[in-house]
Amino acid sequence: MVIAILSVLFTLLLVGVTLKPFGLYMATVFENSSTRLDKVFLPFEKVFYKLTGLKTEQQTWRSYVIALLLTNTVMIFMVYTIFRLQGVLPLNPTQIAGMDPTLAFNTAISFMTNTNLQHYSGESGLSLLSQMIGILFMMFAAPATALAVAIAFIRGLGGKPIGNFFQDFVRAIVRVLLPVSLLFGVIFVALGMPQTLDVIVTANTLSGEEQTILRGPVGSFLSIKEFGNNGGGFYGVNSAHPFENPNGLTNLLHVLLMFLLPASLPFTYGKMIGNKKQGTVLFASMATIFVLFLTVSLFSEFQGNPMLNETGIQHAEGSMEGKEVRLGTAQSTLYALTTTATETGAVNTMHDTLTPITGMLAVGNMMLNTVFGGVGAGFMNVLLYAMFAVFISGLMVGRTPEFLGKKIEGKEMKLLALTLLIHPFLILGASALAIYTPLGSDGISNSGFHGLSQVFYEYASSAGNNGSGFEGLGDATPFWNISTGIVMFIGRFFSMVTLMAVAGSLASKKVVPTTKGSFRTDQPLFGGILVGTIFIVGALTFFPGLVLGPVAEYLTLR
Amino acid sequence: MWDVLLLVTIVVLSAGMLSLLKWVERIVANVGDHS
Repeated sequence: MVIAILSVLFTLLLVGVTLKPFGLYMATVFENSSTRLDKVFLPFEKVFYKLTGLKTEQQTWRSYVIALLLTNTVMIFMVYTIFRLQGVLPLNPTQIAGMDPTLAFNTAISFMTNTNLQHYSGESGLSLLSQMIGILFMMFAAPATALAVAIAFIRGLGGKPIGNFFQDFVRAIVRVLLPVSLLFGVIFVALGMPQTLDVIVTANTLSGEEQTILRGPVGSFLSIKEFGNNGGGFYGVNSAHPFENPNGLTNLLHVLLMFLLPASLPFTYGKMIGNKKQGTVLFASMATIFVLFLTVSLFSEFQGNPMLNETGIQHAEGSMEGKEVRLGTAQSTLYALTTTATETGAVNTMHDTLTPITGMLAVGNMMLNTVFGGVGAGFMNVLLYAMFAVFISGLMVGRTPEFLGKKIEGKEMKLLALTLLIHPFLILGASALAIYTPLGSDGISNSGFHGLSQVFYEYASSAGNNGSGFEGLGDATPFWNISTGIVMFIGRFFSMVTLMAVAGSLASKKVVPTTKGSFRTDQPLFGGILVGTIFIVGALTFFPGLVLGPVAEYLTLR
Repeated sequence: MWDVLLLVTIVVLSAGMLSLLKWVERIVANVGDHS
């Protein structure tokens, strides 16, 4: 157990030292500063602009949002068509038929919204063409979109021009996503992941029977899967599959990649607004919540399942139900908390078998969607909560709230409140509908409290654009495909529209001079208020639901 | 039939977001706010 905990600490240490340099690199990329890397990247960008005819002039926040909405919608149509026609398209060695329409609808929205909720099994549900052209294409396009919007949002808050969506999108892919994915793709292949178009391998088992093993371009798929906070697995069992996650080292690199984009964005933000302390305070606040959740989860998992413990099963390694033996309790718990905190959605363990407290914290990560959160969208939520914290603090001392020297007025608060409310509305409203109708409730495989957790998890995962599944839910039906598809779409784009409006509004305001009476948002006190705001708002919103699910289950097991 | 229905749903969802955009523009412009 001590070694397992040390491995977790080592992983977090490694993550910690990479975040700041990477965040500062991203700031250089999106500030359009000249660097020596221009020689490498500029030719690629120029070719893209020439081929597409896209212009890179400044956009207003409105035209920026329209560009991203229309681009993403067209991409959903394109990939939907590929999924539907994969049966008659090339690169289909295992003769997989066209995808069911509602499943194609769900999958196309899922990957375009960076959710990667999978109601299918990759190896048996998708052809190679669908994996490489449809899925892989969206695994770059979706995080690039989110990163672009987050950068535009930061520019707006900092009073700078919003930028150009297409330029940010291309820069995100060419200068951030592609180089890192390429590097880690090579590392993953060296560490044992397959990278081949020769899909079918027949092996003779020890018992003398023949077994068909399916391979594919897994290494290149895995690097962007984790780095882009995508999470969609090449195989149905995701990162629990030995080809996706062969050993402890690949597991460590998965965790590092999941953190790299969302947790380095606070440093990008600090540099771009010209106050690095601001970014550090936001990072420290998120890290505090993450470490708290992780500590409680590790304690809970190492305690084991009380009902299984009573049977006399050896549980010195903690609750190993649903976990891979080669990865163990500590790394599986770290993975579960990381994938939900960063809204990645990759899984290396069966979340359905996590102890109730860990399950609650995993779903809590997705409900809050601010413990780093998914690439771009998560950090925008962090800033949303930061503005709420400023507003509440302002009310308490009777001053007009200011954030980055800009007054937060009624119109911004309306938009922020709207953004905050849509998330629980989607999760709780859709959960209520699913439980109320037989179309939804028929999919629940567990009775009682655990069944409610299954439904909550599914919609929290969809609305937060996470994509992991609690599993055990019979979700490959038209009801679940369509309802989660709609929740993913609204969960993704609603907040982008409203928060970009906030950025546009703040960008046009004059900076109020800082006085002794100004509330500093780059101090630890503000970090504490921010964490408190997140917990209070989160608790008020979701606690009743959590009590009926994992909390009640925990009390039942004791 | 399903294909048409689902593709229309995507169009409606996108159109809904564009309508939301128009609505939040009014909020930013303080239209109808006389406070």
